[in-house]
Amino acid sequence: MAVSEPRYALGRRELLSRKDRVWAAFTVNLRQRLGHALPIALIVLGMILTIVPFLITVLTYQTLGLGASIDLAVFYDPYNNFLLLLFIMLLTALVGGGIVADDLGSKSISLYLSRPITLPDYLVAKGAVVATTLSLIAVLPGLLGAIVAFVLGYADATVAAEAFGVYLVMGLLFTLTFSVLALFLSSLTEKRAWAASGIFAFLLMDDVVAVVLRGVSQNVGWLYLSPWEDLTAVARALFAVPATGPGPDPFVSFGILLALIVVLAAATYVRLARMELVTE
Amino acid sequence: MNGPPIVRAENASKRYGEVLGLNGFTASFGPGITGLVGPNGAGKSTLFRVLTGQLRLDAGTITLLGKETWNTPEKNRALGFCPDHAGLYDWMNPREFVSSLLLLNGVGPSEAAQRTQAALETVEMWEFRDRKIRTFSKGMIQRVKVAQAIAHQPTVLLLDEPLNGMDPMGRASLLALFQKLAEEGRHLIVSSHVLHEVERLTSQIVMISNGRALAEGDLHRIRDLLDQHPHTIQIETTTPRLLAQILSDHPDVTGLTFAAPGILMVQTAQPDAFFQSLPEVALKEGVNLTGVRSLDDNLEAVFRLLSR
Repeated sequence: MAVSEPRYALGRRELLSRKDRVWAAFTVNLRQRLGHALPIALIVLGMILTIVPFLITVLTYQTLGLGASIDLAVFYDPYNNFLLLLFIMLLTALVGGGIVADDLGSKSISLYLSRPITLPDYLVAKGAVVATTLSLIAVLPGLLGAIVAFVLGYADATVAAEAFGVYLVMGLLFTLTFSVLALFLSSLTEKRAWAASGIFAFLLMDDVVAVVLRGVSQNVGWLYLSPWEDLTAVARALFAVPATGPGPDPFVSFGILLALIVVLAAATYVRLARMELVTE
Repeated sequence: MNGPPIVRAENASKRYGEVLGLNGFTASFGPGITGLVGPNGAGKSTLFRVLTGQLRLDAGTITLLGKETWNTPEKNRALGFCPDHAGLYDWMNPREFVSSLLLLNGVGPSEAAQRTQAALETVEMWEFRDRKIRTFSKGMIQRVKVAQAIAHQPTVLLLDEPLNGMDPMGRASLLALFQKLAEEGRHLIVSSHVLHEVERLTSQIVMISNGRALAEGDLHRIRDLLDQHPHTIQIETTTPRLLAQILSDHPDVTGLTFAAPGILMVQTAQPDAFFQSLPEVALKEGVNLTGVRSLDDNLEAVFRLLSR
């Protein structure tokens, strides 16, 4: 091998802003995570299985004689779909499992942090990748449903706009919660498979345990243990879904979710900031 | 090369639990090329991680280009770092990889494309630009790592064991590249535990062991500091026994060993005086010398002595 002389010269050039550098980190990682058939297939399948039932509900609402115009509560329908939870769990595990663990395992995290990229920049870029992916099945179906209902005249403009806004708020809460959870669990290991299994097992078992304990004890307080139950409690309140029985208080659930997001984000930061591996 | 030091470390200590990465490391080095020499586990990678701002010191200070290293990510614009581990996105090809990292450095997309090509051509990897990194040999990966370190034209290059896994030709080429980069005015800190490689690159050395700087400065000055330690000189002669007999009375000789047929090893605390007197002694006594070599005039020997 012969190595040629460098062709460039020293010089100062205009450099991109911090925002652009974070964006660059985001796009690189988004390409990496979506560069395989499995996550794409999961997203497409998840979108179909959550959008289609909802669109059927919207399109058959008047046919079934349920009312002249769709009210806001109908837009809660996607959150009633167990497949949404299942696909969110699968996608969080698949995309989020390696989001930090891969960089720790390969030590490529050094390539970020030895550049003008701070640890918060890095975590924001990584979290945004998981959030963007999740939003495709957690937010998009609802937004499409609201648009379709309005365009076809099944929902009036006010209701459609309200539904649209609530989906955005809930989407933010959904994606933040699951993204931060994925970041934290992924930062605990250098093995993507362990992180992915941990995320899936945690989300599934957490919800199963909360529901079982609630059933056994008849105490709805157990449901606060499950982020999914907290999210749906907030969603029910925002969509003004009539209560059919005792359930989690939406304000308490909202507070728990906010606390969870803040605590997990801080824990992930502290974990990575303090993690010092002897590399020699 | 003259100028203020690039790195100043004062009693820098970094602990990993019970393990000391740096233990009161004190040294000032640069500009130009500095060789950071020490065995595995000496603290070289820890020092690099501190310099790149990935680790915070527990005690002491380290500055790079006059700036604190911790919590100053903007200073990393001036840094190029070639880590010792693979740490690459091997699902990318080299063009995507170097280009992506340039964007992280704040270089715009169009300029990143140009610089990527220049950097990959510099390390002779442009022809492999569209091949996945995962298919590369270790030597090719090393070259990609060097490319990403130089692509944004940093002022300071931190090269952690950059020649690991390279074939002899590749090593020679990269060493030549490092010399060129230094001639351009860049400052290089090159770590290695393969001592002769560093010796070929620079005489400015920092020797590190157990997290401490054992010595720093010009290799020959370091060697002068060690004059109280015996140097070993290998003499090839057709009459080793006769020469040993003669040298046993030499005032500068402290030990004699027959290493192999025709080879006499001489220990001396005064190598310069011994070298001056040896031809005269040989001529006077009629001893035929076929080769004389100072085994201690290399980093390995200096390091062995300093580590004692």
